[in-house]
Amino acid sequence: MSKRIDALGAQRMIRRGAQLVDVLPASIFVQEHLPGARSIPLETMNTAAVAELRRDKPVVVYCFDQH
Amino acid sequence: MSDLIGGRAAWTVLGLATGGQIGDRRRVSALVLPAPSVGIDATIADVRAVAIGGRPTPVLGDGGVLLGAIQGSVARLPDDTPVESVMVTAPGTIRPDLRVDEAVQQVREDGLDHVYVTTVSGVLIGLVIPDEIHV
Repeated sequence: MSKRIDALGAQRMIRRGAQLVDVLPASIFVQEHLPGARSIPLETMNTAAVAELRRDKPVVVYCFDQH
Repeated sequence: MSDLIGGRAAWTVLGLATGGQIGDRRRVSALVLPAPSVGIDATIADVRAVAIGGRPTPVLGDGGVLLGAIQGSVARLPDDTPVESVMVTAPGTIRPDLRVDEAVQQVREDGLDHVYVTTVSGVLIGLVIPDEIHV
């Protein structure tokens, strides 16, 4: 179950160690992404792709705008 | 898991930094100049104390929301003149995620020599002077 947070809330979570996942296509991620984000494009997301995420730290996911 | 409402756009519209090959270098947020400000209860003496050269001085309300601006030309007024009585209300503003070339074009079309950068909720981030930007 995910919860929704605004940008300032995300910033606070990131400062406290949350992992940041960008689900945009890799070509867009390369051009611009939030600081410290990891690229896991939505079209490639599967169990293996998220295996490197730590399970003991929260995850913040973002797309381009609304989705 | 948390879902960032509004995605990357919600981040950049606040003027928060981004990374990448292009990153935020193309955005207004990368070119914002500091804009020392005064509160709505200030006087012209307070403006003189913080003003930078001939630049206008923004007047802020609660939470840093931009309410108006004091033009450099009012510096001759008496020290105890309340800024609220002489400020220009609702000065031009743009958002920090606007592309630099679009911002320069918009400001020049509006005939302005400067524009304030604020969040969507009106909180002042700084000032952009198109003549100091080379695009």
